[in-house]
Amino acid sequence: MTAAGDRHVQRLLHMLESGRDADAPYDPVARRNGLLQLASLAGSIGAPACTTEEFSLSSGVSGRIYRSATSDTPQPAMIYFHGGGFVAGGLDTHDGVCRRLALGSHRVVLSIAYGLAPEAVFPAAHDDARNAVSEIVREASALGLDPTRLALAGDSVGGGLAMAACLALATSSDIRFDRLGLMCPILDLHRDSPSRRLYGRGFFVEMDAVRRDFEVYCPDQAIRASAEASPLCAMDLTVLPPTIIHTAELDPFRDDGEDLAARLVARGRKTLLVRHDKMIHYFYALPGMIPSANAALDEFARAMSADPA
Amino acid sequence: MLKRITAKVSDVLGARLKGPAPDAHAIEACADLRELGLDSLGAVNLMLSLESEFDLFIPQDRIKPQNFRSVGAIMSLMSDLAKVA
Repeated sequence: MTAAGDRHVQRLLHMLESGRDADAPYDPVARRNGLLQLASLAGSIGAPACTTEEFSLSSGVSGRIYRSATSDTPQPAMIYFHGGGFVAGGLDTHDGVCRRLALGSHRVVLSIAYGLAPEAVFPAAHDDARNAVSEIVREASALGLDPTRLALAGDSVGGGLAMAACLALATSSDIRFDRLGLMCPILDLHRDSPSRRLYGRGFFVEMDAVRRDFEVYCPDQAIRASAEASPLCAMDLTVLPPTIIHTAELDPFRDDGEDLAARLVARGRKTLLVRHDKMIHYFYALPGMIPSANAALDEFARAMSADPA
Repeated sequence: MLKRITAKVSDVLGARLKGPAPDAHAIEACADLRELGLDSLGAVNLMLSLESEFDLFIPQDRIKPQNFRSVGAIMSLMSDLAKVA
């Protein structure tokens, strides 16, 4: 099955396969540590220099702000949510991603360290995301941000958090965004899909482990199937801004992003869908192993600031 | 070379475990690393660490479970690859 990936992807999958142990117990904290180590080994190759600063919000959520250039005028911004299955990932695993996005999009990037399971369970991450966005919007001027040019973005489950925050704030406030960017998003914690069946084993993310992640974060099956946890289930998508969606051919969650794109296009919403052939989930964050990662992030970043099609 | 390999194994296993990293000196050369907690993501991290530490590239045909099952097996592989390099 691994012959489908490009040669760099094949090598990574081969490495994973060589370490596979069917009896390995599920351990979300070990996964968290393993992902952090992988990021340090393969995640920041060619990451551009940015001015960075850690921040803490009054809601208790912290983050890191990336500025690729200094400016005296209010800057467009992108609030970013990392992936990691709600149990892993953080500011450091996605540091290289955020640097690249800041440079390529000419936006200030604010990466959000929402709470992780099992310590923080649903709706903690969703609440953190929504509260962080609300506060950043309120403080936009003080942060040197242009409140009329704010975007939300994220990868993997972070894409789902970005979309859920966008939907929630659209119905409960007058906060609006100029773009929504979703990189290999996970938008549904409950569904089955052809891509989940095709690529759910042996393609970097294992569906068995990810289902456990979802259960650890959100133990209630009915809530996992709700629009609050799974924004792909939302009935009204017309409140979403122009949306940029990137998917990977060999990603179990490919259908999440592509089904959303189809729904948005059917409703006449401005949508850009890009599929990366022969790529896997999370490829964009591993430029040290998969050289095309940087080009994919650059393309995603440019689209976040280009005129919507 | 053995010390450097064992140190890398200890780093990777330590990152995978909740507790403190196993003492590098306490890892037997023949101990099964899977039994010490090495899983698939840990195996990737170990291979990348070794490539960086020894400035070499592990060819795909050498990426086999048996080559990374123990410190001794890794030692043998690294020695082979160092000779080629």
